[in-house]
Amino acid sequence: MSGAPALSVTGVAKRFGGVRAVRDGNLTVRRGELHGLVGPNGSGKSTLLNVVSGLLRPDAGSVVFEGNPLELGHYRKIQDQGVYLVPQEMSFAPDDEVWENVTLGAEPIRRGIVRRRAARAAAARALHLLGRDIDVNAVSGALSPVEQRLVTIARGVVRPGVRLLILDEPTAGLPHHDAKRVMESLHQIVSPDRAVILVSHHIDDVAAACHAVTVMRDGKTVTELRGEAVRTDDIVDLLVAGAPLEAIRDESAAPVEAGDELIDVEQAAGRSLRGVSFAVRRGEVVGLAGVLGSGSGETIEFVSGQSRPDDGTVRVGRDASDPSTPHRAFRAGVGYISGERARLVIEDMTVGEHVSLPVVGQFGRVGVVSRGRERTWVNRSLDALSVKGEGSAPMRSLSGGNQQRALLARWIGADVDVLVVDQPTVGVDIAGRAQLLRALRDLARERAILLAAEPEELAATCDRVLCLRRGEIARELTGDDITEGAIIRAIV
Amino acid sequence: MTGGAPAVESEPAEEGRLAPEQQNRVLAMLSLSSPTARRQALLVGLFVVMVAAFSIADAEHFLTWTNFKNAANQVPVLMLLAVGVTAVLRVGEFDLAAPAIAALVSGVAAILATQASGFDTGGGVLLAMAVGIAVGGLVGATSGVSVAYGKAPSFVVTLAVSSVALGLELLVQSKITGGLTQISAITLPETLRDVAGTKIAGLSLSLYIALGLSLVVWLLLSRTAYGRHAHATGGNESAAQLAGVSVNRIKIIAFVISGLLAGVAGIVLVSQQGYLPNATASYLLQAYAAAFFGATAVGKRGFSVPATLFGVIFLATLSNGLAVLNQPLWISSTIQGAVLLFTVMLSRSRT
Repeated sequence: MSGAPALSVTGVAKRFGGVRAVRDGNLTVRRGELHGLVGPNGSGKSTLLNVVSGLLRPDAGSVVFEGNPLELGHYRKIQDQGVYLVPQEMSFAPDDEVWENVTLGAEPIRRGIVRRRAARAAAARALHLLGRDIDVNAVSGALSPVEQRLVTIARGVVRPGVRLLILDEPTAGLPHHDAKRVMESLHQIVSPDRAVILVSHHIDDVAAACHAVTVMRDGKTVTELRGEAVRTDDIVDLLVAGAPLEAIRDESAAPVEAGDELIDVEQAAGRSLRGVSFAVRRGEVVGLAGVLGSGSGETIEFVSGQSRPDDGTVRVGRDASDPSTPHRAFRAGVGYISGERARLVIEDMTVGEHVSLPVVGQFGRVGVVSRGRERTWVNRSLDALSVKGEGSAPMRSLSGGNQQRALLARWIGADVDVLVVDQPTVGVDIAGRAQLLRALRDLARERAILLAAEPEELAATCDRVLCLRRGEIARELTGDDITEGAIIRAIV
Repeated sequence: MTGGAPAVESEPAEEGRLAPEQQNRVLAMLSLSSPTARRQALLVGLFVVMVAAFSIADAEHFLTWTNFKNAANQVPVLMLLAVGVTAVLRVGEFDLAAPAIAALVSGVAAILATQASGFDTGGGVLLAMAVGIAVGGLVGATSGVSVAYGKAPSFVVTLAVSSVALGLELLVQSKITGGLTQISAITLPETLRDVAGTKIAGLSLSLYIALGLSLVVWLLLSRTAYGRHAHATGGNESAAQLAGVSVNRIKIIAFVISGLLAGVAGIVLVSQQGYLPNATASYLLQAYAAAFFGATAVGKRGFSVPATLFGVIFLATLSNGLAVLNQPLWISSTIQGAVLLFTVMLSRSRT
């Protein structure tokens, strides 16, 4: 297995606006190896691989493949040189037949006409190599989730010239036994001519399968483990390392005694969740930990009314209402914020208008908004979270951390009992992170807070942490048991 | 720059030239530093040049109070339709059905006022108009509900609703007695003719109505909670939703506003010229040209009623000027289309 390096990535950096997604990305993949790439959310894994596959042009750094420097930013050229990426969310045409999805973009063509028989045969060969003989004439949407995943992987396998196949989270959201089957298939496609890079949050899968593992943290490549050194515990330790966030829990000296139940989830099931139950009371910050596809994101969606469970019930607020839409959730007393600010920030609107948006009706005199009363209310809310910047400034002029606090400020004076907070620190610097988490902690005195965030942030902030793994609550941590390491061990 | 100079941290300027920072400040004062400002200056300049050109070409006829009155009295139908579609554009949707709604309402109101028993008194005619406007609101609500709850693209929904409205207009038209397909203005009851016919200070009552309703919609969009929610919905629908705004309600109301204003436009049209079948087709392009031209030329934060009114004035001036110069109709239509194309491309080039 110890072949010559097929791929060497050195010093890659990529910045999006003010966010340095990758600062120093280095990666060496040898010929014919299965190479794992692991790291927390936002550590830069996807960005680094998007650079390697040509989807992104880096600000700095170089990528050499089989001795030739790649022309970065040129997706087609890089693909022609034999590097192919199967992204996290593969576009997939559910109405098309399996062979069409497998050969998409690589159809055998003669005089402008697709040679269907040859295409079907190639698709069948690729799927056979993956260890699953799926009917190439079946309608893709009718396949099981595992088979669909294999079809997208087969897309990389079917291309004859691919000598480096990059798979971004190929097992995310699959139940354990299905994920295991996908992992087994991966062994089939690694060959002396074909190396595979695997991104996964499931550390034990990676440790069991990969010849080498590279760990990323905060946009940097921390280390590479190879051969015998690839062990689950060592990888987890590397993920945990780093300056811990100071505990915020202790600051609210007298723990508020838990009040009435404001979130009640019973046996909720959906795309990823498989019957999850929990409750959150007034005065509590309850954390949701889980990797992509674990169901933590879906839990957030259910409680904030963005989607509804297929099975089970979700009740929120004083009157135990059904949050069937975001508007109904708000009426029931649920406020929502997310670090995905593209979904929350409105072009052309000022900071103040963002803050008052949910409750702007209450400043009305015969329907007309009294700007004076609105301004007073907005300034009080912004001051409470020490947001820098005027209410009249455009939202875009604020830094990420200030934007996030301004979005949180909208719920301070509003009549909401529940805050649903989804990855609030994405793209927020260290100082801003602590400030934001402290503000959440303070808000919890009179409210119930459900917080999905990074393990270290949860460890610093929460009274309880629900650790989700493959759609179920694998472990509930309380009190001193809440540590970053304990959370990571429970979710990976 | 010696020690006595003010503590400004900029590169020392060469004699007689401004430092880059100062240059920026000057440009900002002229507010031509941003692409938006340059674009707006270009379009407002276009308007000024156009007025100047018409004035030079034929000042004798163009720059007269009589011509102004004539032009202004032609404007209400376009103004009502354009302001209506602005409300829908504001929530990020399209209403292509507004002119068809106006056509349907013009038929309903005309036939009720002239031929239905019980509508022949003055009050009856008012009732006929009210029914017509209500029909407009109802058709608008249909579009709104289909877009909001059907999650269907408004472009296609309102195209379909437009066809249905024109079909219903044909049905109404078939009820006209005596095998006629139109109702001439002379046969209309006086109350209906008065909408356009009454002159106050030389200007038609319908113009005051259109301006009054524009004012109402402007206040609604710029000063109320509804307006704020509409802006948020049009700016970023998911953001509005996640702030707890009932996006569906906001959209439906916008379509109802557009339907009601289209209804009023239909009544004004009948009052001006009697009932003619399918008389509003040409207004579709004009209404959108006005809204897009206005938003691109003077809009600060996208579509707004004052911006649309500027667009209406631009288009009205253009067609009036060309008419004064005795230019054939095809020129007017072609130029209007070109203006829409030009402004839309300008507004898209901002990134």
